[in-house]
Amino acid sequence: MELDFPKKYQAEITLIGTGGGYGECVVAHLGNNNWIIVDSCINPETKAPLALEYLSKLNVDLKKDVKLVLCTHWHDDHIKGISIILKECTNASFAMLRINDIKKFCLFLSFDNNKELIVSQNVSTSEFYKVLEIIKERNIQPQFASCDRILYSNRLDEICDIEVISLSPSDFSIMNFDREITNLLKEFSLSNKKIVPELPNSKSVVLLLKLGTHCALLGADLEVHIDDRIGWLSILNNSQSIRKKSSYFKISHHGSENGYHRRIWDEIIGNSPVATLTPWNISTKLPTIKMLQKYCVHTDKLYMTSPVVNSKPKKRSWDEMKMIEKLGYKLTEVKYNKGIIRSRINLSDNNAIWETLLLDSAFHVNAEFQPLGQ
Amino acid sequence: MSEETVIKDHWALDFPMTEHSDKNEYVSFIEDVVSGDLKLINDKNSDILIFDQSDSRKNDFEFELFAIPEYSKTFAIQKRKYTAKTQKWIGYVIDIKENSFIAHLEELNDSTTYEIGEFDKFEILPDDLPLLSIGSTFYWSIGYLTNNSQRKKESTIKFRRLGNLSVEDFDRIKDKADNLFESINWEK
Repeated sequence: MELDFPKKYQAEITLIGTGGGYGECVVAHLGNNNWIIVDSCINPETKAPLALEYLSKLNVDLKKDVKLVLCTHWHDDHIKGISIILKECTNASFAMLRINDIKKFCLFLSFDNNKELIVSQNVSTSEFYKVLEIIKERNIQPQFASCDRILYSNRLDEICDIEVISLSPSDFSIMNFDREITNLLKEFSLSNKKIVPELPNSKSVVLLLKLGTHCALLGADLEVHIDDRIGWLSILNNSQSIRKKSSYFKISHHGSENGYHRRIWDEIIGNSPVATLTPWNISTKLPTIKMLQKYCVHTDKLYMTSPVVNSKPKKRSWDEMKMIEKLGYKLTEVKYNKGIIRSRINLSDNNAIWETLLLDSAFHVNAEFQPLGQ
Repeated sequence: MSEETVIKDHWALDFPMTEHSDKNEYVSFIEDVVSGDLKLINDKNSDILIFDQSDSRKNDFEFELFAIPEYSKTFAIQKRKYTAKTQKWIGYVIDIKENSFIAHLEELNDSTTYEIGEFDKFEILPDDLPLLSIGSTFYWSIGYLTNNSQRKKESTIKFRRLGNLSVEDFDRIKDKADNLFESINWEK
């Protein structure tokens, strides 16, 4: 299908999902050929970042028109290929969560990157390392995201103001991360292990997109914690940037129970918003039926990039499959299933509503929807 | 063994013949030397082969060869009696249960989509058991092994080891980190 380019005064938010195992990313048009890319995931067959694949189909000038590349958190499913994106988007700035002890962070990356034999297994640090090498080469300043930080702003002619504001991570989460780097350095730098960060979701960067009179919230993988100094409760209690309820919400953490809080929907999300999410389908399956039903109470415009499917063995030759079976192993393939949810809104019309287009495996969820495999 | 040989903990020793290995199936174990450049030296009487990476003879054998660091100029391989239909994965542990563990697996000959597999803990060599933890990486291979005219299916799990860093390695890594820190115009 041929994709049309958004109009000059049209904002677009496009969520790209991979079926639950290969990540998600968001590309957004902020009017007048200004694009941002939030996170990265790749097509496992071509290894190409899906955000670039999508923007190339629209004939976006990557070198000129992508203004910001942001990494919401340090999880493989949000970062794979982000260095390729930054390399291509030569005019873009780069934003990531705030780090206070930068020297220690560089040391950690350098140690972990040294484990070059398992590069493919060690995506998050190697991607970060490559990103920093590009930043160094270009002599640009990386931006640090934290609560109520403007990462991008632009006046769109006389039509409206555009702002991209980070609402998290909270100061307390950032402080915890500084301590965590020390532990990661001790535990993983010299070991045979792939790094396993503590609660990376709690350090996710949630973004508020102020699009003139319209607002959109990109929830990344932020979760709700008992401790209100971190996660969604910290945003709800402390953010000074949210003046208006959002009419678009990228639901956080694949619609999981720990990403949900009634207050999010009551206090910062408008009535019946466009709500989008990607599934998770590795050892657990998200979202659950219970959560989908809960979201359907809040909106009739709930969209998923692809259904949660039951895992099956990978296709192989008969000989190979027989050998695996005879040895008694059961392997399941993490299926790649791309889906795209594209939502656009007219920035010059204060009463405009989002128009949504579903591509590939994306679909509209209604209250009767029954995901497979649960 | 030549006099200058110094055996260290090193990635090549991911394939040692331990006291638990089947001595009939494994010809010998790799001895390597790290002294400046990686140069591998072995007992001439053993069946361990050492080639330059450019040596075409290495293609004549079926090897347990998973990864070669870029800086190595030569490498050692462990010659098997013969294996056929071998499939190899690199995996890392994502969950540990009472008697088993679950891993994320990438097939070395087909690194497109990945797989999830569950393994019994008893498959891990006792020497490797202490290495089992969330995030630890391992190699898994299955294939047919022919030995003394007998052919049998075989599955091998070997956990990855990393060697101790030399002072030079440490300095190199530290220099890279310092360079990264000092060369970037970080926000204050």
